[in-house]
Amino acid sequence: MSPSFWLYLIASLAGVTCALSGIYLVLRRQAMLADAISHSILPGLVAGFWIAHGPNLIAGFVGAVAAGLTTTMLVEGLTRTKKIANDSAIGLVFPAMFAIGVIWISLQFSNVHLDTDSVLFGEITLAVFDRFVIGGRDLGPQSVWILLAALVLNIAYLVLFRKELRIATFDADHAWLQGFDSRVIHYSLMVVVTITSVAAFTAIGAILSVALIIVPAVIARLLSNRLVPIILVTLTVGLMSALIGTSTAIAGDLNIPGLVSVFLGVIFGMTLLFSPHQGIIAERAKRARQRMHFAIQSLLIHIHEHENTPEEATESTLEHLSDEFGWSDSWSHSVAHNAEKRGLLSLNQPIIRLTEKGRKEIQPGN
Amino acid sequence: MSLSIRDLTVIYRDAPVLRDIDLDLPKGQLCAIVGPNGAGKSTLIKAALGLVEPVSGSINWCGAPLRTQKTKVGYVPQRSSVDWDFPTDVFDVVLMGTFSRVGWLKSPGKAERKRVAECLDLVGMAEYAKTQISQLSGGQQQRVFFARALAQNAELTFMDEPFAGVDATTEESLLNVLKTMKSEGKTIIAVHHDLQTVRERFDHITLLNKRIIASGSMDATFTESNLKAAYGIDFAIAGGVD
Repeated sequence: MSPSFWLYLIASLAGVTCALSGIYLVLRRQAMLADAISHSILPGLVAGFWIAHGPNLIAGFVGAVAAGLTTTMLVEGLTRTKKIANDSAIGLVFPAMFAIGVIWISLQFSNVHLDTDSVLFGEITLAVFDRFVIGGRDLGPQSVWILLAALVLNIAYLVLFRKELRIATFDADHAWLQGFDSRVIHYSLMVVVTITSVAAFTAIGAILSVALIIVPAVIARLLSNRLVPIILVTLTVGLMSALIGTSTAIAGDLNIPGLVSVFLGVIFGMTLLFSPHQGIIAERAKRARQRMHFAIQSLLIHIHEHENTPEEATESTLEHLSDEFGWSDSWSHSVAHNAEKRGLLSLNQPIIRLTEKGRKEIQPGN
Repeated sequence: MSLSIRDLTVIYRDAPVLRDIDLDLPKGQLCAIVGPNGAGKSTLIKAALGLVEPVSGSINWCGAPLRTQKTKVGYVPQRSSVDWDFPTDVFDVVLMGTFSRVGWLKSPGKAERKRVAECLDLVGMAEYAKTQISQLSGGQQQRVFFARALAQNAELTFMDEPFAGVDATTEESLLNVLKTMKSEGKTIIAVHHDLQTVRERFDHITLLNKRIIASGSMDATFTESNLKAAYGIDFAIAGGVD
């Protein structure tokens, strides 16, 4: 297998795994916890390496999971004092944890392959060369196996706990009364997110893992309000951004995690603009349609009221509409012509006349 | 008497919200809890449910601590307490009412689904089974909550302002659901805010203002003097009491 094959595979696995773990974080409005966890696993990783006297994978993993849980508990504890809001608690805890990690690295591991750059941006190109070798057989990069395990964990968690995740997210009190302690769900979700972050950390770094955890689920949420489509869109976005980002980066010899993040941002921006229901453009268009509809209705009623009256010659003219409704001339024209195009009135004579269709349009009950 | 609350005190930030509550509520009846804003009505049912930690007190249901029988207890919270943007449909929310019987990690089966369909029918929401909950009106949300409580088939159901902000048709239909539940021997304890309607809708009334002012059958307890003691002002009760 060529190194670029492994690059694509690692990026894709990181994409779908992180994206999956973010779905319930976003639904539970806890997206910032992903940011907190991905940064605060650093001191845990360092502690694991320190205990194992070197970059030992399992020790680092255990330490990182412990650090992730510590962060979650500290945030919960600070929030529960009711002196500090949840977002402030997150903002307090994770920089402190990250700082401990950074200082510890510079004190203890200045000579080891672990530096702050690789922590932030990952070393996906180096990840390809960290091989998983058993009994002399090369089974591919370690990252592939770690991410694969994290992917299986995420899928198993979402499938096994699908009922518990739904009830605890929709109504935590009701869940508790039904015998499903939402703290169990909260902490188990945090363990899954932590393990996912650790798995993605070495390959893609802290910052991209946050982007890949949060952004695909946010995009899916903008596109659907049904769970299964949300999951499918989340997976697709995670995978596509990883593949496109990697191929562009390889072609231009650029930083892979950086480009994947850029593509996530681009897809998010496009979704925000073009989403058929919640997109900015769809909403603008809907509001414009409603405004036009209301204006036409007002116009039809006005014409109808003055039909066959002495004032008709002055009231029912295009020029009079600006005075009547306080409309600009161009808006008056656009409303009248729009109504004519819909066959609701006739503008052939100076006096505006309703058509049969226009008369029906303003009948009560229509 | 079947719900028995003894010596219940709840404190939020230094100030007691509920003080030395001793309350007995009868089984199989529609019981109202009324009182002015800030009287601790919601806190009382949350403390009874175990959702709020009291400083002291015990809550027993049929002689045993309520917290050991959580699955016998249903809850219809205030509508604003849940996330109606959560991506799911009406059927699924009502199905959640059956989860205590299903247990951890198992899936609800045919019996549960059939029960959900019946409950949706009872609250007049059968045709909305596949509707996303974000598209429901306030009244429909409340019907969904009632269906969820029905699906649970709980002996005792607490409701927090079940008729708040619903239209007359919905109110009528929800009242019928309450009557059905009562006819099946269920106990309902509801926070109610409307003194004009409490008399005709409930059998039993508790007047609360941080402590129990009075509690008993509607006829004996819903008196102008008790209302004055609870609210601090005179009330003219429609229909003439005393």
